[in-house]
Amino acid sequence: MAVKQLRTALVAVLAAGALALAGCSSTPAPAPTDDTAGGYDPTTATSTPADDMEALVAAAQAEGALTLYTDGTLATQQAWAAEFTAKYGIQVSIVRDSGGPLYQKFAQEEAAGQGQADIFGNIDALSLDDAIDNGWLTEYTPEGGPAFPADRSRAGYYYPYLMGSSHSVIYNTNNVTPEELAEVQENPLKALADPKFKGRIGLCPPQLAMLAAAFWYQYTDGDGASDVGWEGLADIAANVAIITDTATLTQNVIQGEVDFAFPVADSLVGNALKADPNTPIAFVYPSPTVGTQFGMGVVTDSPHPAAARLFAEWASSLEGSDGLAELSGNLNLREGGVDGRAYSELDWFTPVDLDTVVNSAVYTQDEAFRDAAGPDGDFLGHWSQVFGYAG
Amino acid sequence: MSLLQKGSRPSAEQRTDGNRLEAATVSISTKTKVQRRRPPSPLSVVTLIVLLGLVVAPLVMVFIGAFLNGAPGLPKSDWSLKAILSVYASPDYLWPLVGTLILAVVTAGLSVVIGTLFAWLVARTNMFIRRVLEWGVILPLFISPFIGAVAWNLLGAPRSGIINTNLRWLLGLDDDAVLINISTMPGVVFVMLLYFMPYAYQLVGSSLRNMDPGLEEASYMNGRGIIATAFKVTLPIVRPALTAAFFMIAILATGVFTIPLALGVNTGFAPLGMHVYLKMTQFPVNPPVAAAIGTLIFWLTLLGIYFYRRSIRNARRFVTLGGKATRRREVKLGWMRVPATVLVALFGLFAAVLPIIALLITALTPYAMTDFRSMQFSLETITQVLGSIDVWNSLLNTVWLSLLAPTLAVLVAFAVAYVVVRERGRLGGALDYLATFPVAVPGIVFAMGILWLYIRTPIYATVAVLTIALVAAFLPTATRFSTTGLMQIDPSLEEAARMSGASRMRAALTITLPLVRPAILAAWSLLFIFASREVNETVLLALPSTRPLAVLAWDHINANDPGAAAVVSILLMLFMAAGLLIARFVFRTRLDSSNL
Repeated sequence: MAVKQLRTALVAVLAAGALALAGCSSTPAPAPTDDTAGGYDPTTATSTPADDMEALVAAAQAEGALTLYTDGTLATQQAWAAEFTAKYGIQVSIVRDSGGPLYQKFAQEEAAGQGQADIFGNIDALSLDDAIDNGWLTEYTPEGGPAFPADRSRAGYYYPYLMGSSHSVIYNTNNVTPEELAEVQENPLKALADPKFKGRIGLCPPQLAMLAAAFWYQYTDGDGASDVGWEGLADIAANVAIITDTATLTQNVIQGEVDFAFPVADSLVGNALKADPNTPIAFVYPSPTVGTQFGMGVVTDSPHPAAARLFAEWASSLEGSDGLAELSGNLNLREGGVDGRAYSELDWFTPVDLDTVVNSAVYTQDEAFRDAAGPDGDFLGHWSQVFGYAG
Repeated sequence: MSLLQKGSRPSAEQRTDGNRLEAATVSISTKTKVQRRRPPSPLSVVTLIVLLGLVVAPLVMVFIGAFLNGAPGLPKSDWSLKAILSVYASPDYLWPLVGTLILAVVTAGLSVVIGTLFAWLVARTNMFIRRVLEWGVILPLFISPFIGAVAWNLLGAPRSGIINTNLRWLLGLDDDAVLINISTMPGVVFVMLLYFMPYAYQLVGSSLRNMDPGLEEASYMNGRGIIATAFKVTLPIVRPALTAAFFMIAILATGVFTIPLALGVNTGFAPLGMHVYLKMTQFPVNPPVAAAIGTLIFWLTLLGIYFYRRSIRNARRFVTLGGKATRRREVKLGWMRVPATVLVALFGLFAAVLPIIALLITALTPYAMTDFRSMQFSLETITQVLGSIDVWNSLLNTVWLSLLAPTLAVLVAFAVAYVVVRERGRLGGALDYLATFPVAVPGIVFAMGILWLYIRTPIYATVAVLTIALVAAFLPTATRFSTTGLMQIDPSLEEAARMSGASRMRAALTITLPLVRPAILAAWSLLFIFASREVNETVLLALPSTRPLAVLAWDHINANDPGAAAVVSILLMLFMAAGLLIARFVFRTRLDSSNL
């Protein structure tokens, strides 16, 4: 009987082990598609000539749905997707998360052969490049693709349909005096080290995203280091009340819990003002700062390949990009597109000096930055130590 | 007799008078022999396999993940000790470990003290409007702790919180006066207390109601006063329930991350559960380190589970069901009656009424407004959110999850309890332990294991995978209810059915199940609430087509839209209340401390 019990236990353990191993096994990446075999195939095409547009629309409508993975603002993306649905009758589901976790989810699904995404978007160019290297993003050039800046795209793979944004210092317009604002406008980070701002500042830590890390790195090792450096950051640290993510920081500034917060993308201010123009929020650009864009590409193993391609065509068109700019209240990067910025006509707005903006794509190629901010580097730990941040 | 000396002791019902002793002894001896020889029943084997898939396999995945350099299955993932060493062999997590322990012990201690006081006040005294106030204590169960924390951030933020902002002008205080600051560690403990204390209240309240009031009566008759009786008679009897509540809350508090995160605490200390979350969401995302921290929490809470199980075992020994009905004497509070009533009412105010008001304000204002003097109200957010198809899809998913997960959890738990209580085979102990394991792992870590395990199966991206995660997470609670319910039913009823020719299955279904029904329905009702509001287990696994309301609320918070999150949260609370009302009419089950 003991043998029988042992056998039962063994079978049970093996069953659990088999389940665990099934979870560990890797599914090979799907083979690259080949549409060179002659006629236009809307499910594998690398571009859609004007003559084949009708075929693409018909195939996409037959699929009837698509899923968009994005780290853009949810409400804006939903409204934008609704315009696509209204035009083509294709339902759009949106999976929204921060850039890092979103890419983890996407990568795990694609590696497991369980792809759910048709279009993948991310603010982090490193993630998009990694997806291409792994064969998870397919080659597709929409008609409007070349109308987006080449240095903010990867031609043939992803384009910044969503918007461009630069990191800023946001503030509550009800709580900041004109004198204080004048000081902050002159040199934001230096001014905010003044003890009179104690308890009034919120920060986004470099651990939040690669872009936030790049921002802080500029002030410790980049162009802003001579002006601020680790010593200057220590002075700012004495004034900090909250360290959290940008969405929470924006809410805290609007609510008046803190009066200033940085680095926060100007696009979040655009979103807030678009939702309600009376929202008490504005921003100034520090110098230097970082800029970025939300790249989007078509997924290789897309469950709705024609719908994904049609969405790329629509998103890159003037109609699609203008619609998004209007909805989001943000900068449209498409050539000839409308300027949808909800704040561009407001008194407080001063455009960013493009010479002082380093694009995030530059940092993705910067070995020194990648080493310092990577898992083996000491940059993040040093920052946490200076600001007393436990994350 | 020699067999008796070597083997087991006769059970209580087998201990009988002298004439039957020998026969009983022979019978027991034979039973002992038979028990030793009896192979595991088919039910116990099937239950074991189910538990291995539900509980052990995801845990194994977490441990495997801790020994990799990337998420399992990714192209560049390989075996590595780096994550394990960075957690176990570096001082980085020592302070978070100690701090987490302190946080858990303080929260559990305060919860038990206050929960016991409230349970005693409600069950034994002449406090005013006890039934209404009891609802104030139970109501926090309807609020997801993270929603409660978000609401308290709106209420108690030091500069802009609703309480500080409005009391300043109402009391004529300085603009920088801070009456309450929730973004501190005491603030975290306070909010944890609001949402964990009801568990202590349930356990202790149930124990108080079940004890024989004759014991207290005897104490009064012998001249002891209220305080002396409470300390010398009542407290020792409910002590096992106190211990069980302490360890249960300490275990829950060990893995918590949503509350400190939502309160924006910036004290240089983050509990281990929060580190897990941050490692999975912050740059650079590091699932192996998250898994390694999860294993550290597992060892820590395993210790808690050991003590928790010991205290439950003792609790069973101390259950006192008197055969003679004695009317419970109501303790007259005298001048303490009003303060005691106010104290319990304040808890309901802080835990339920104020957070719900804060959510309503957030849902009705165009952006975060906290000053009553300048507040503008609009229905735009509500109409916008309710006009979205996402909400109705999520509501449908919530309906499925809240029906399926409790039902399956209760069924599996009943099978576990049956094997543990009735069959008492060797597998029983193992099953009992396995069913408790999910408590030992923070929800988000367990969900990570489920994700890694099931991502390659057809059930990924369906409601089924969320159901599996929830069934596993609810097993400890469901098993506790089923085991306690079964222990209260005399096995001789089933034996009589067997002797009359019924099969074991028929006896279980026609005799035991109907008798244990009240306990199972109470468990189902409680799990219905948990399944509706759960976020930790589901946030990693949900997709737009499978997302429940609670995850939708979380997504709105993450997407900088607290107004939409508030609307979804209120809808969720209404759904839970409607579900419980329906359950009350259909199953005639009520959710109060007497059946929890």
